[in-house]
Amino acid sequence: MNRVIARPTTLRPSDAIGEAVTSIIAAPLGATAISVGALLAVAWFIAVLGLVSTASGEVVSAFAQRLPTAVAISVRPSSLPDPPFPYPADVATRIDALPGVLAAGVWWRIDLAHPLTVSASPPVTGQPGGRAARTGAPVIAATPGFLLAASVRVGQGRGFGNWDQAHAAQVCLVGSALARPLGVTTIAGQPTIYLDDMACTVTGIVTSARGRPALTRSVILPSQTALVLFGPPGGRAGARPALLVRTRPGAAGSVARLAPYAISQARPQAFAVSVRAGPALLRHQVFGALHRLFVILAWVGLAVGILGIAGLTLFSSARRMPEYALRRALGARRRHIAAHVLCESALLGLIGGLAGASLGIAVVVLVALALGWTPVVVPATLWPATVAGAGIGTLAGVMPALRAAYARPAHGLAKFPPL
Amino acid sequence: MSVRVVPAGGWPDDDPPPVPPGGLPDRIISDRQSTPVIELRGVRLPVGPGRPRPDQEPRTSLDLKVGRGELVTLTGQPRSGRSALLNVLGLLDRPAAGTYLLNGVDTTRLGDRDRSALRGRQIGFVFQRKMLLPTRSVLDNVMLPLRYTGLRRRQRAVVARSSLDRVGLAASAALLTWQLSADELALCAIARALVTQPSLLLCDEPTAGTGQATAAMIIGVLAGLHREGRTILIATADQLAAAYSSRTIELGQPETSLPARPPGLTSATRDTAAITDAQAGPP
Repeated sequence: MNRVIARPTTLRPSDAIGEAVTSIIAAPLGATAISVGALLAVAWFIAVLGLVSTASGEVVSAFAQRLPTAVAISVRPSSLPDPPFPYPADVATRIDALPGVLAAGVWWRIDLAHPLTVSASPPVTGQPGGRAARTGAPVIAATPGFLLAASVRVGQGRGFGNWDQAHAAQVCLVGSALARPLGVTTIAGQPTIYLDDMACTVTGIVTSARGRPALTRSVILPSQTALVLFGPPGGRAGARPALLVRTRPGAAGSVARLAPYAISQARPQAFAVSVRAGPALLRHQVFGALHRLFVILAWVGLAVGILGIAGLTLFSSARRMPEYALRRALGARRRHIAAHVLCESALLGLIGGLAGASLGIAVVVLVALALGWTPVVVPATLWPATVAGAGIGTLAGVMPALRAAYARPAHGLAKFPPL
Repeated sequence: MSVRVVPAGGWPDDDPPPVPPGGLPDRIISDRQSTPVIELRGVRLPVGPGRPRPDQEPRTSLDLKVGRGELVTLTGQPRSGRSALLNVLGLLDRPAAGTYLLNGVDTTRLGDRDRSALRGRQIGFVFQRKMLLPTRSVLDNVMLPLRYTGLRRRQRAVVARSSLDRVGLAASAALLTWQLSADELALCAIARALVTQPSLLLCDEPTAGTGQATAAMIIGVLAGLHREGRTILIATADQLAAAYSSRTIELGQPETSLPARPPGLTSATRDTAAITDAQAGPP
């Protein structure tokens, strides 16, 4: 039965908002407490998400340092053709043209029928090289590009360049671990070393080679010089010419795929390519675990915040129960009382959300500055977080709103404080 | 005059409640001039907060009719149930048992929407403790009932100022209520009760805590409203208010007939009635 008793009472949305604003202004302390709850919840959420983004950037950067950058290319033994040098003459140029390549060079180990003797003085018949001689020390033939690809660091003097290569200059680099026993401690006097009886001027001492640490115990000759002095490379395993390529971090994989085609489109399968396994899976796992942990932390913080605000709102609405009872006596329906409570808590949540987003960003920036990181804040989280503040407030206000709406007006009025 | 005692067992067989067959009629309540504004049938007042225990069940049942345009005073000792009765009459509480008809409509069957509509549009309250919001201005407090009537703020302010003007408080509209004296608080509470132009005014000690002059003014305002045809129920011990009333109902005392009131106050018949414990039975 739908009888017309009296026109139902109404509450305009603008009046509900106006009442909320007036109530907040009238009791700023209580409102501040609730707002601070929302502020902390949103600030925590933004800060945690911002810090996880910032930390992720750092993790990615740290892992990038450990990504493989070296690609080694050799000729498969079974497909080795008769010509001793199985690469095109411009192989380094072809490889250099691939995206992500920093340097590329050819090298091989001089492999003669007898072990080479390296000495700092001319060999005397019967006593080759004197006491400072080292027999069987590795002698490497390399292009200038190889020195770059192996990150060879020359502590004294200089490496050899294209001019030395083009003119087959009898120069060499000596690894620091080999130079000491040979008595080559400085290149100030342009020392000469002897490979058997062939003299080479030492242009520099190799102190380190990140790509090939063994080079610090070797003698390195320009490849043209090696060809002139010792002939073409041998066909034995370990003495075949090979390519070493240095790439940008993360580009090694694609270079490894493309390089055989760059060398020979007709026979790419003739070349074996090897790349050191990178920490991609580990990075993925570490990053995933970190991300999950921080996101859980963010949501836990938010949930704690909601509970906190709900408690405060419940307390606040319980304190104002007489006022709500009075409003009911004056015509407010249950839904109007609920609207009053929800509007107020949503407004406080919105204010808290705005302030919380700012505080969260400040925390991210300060922490990143303190740790020397680059702060990363995803802008897409800011507005949603602010709106989430209002959502938190609304959510936290549901229970108090229901309690206030369903309280018996007569009981609320009995508790009205005297003026 | 129809205040009587009904046994806890319900209505006597020889005098059943006048409920028409097929239930209450559909109507807009202001249509029927002959219908009593207030009609209680076997109403038991609710007790305390929460669900009453069986041993707390009130044993008295109330029957009461108040006609349109009556000014009735309600007297009684403290804890005689005056406030509980006003809460039921004002639809702030539901009776523990029985039926309450307001303008012929059974309010016990109404939901929140209709009860709120009746409270907001047809009933005005003057509470004993005035119950004004301390952090709001006088004007805001008087406008408060209008907030739920759908009027715009500007219209609300005009109506509220007019109501304040009626009780002589227009000059204090901008003051906060805590800045008012006890007399002004009482007048402000009256202004708030009048602002929706209610047809039924329920006043609980409207002159409590006021000086003689203010009490007289309040009674004057209420008498003026009575002359305009509004139905007024005043719970008071104020003799002046009782003198203006059509009749007086005393809670907790046996029904007593009073001598005819002096002429000149109102034309209504003056009675005093009582509601006694049901176990004592009707006199």
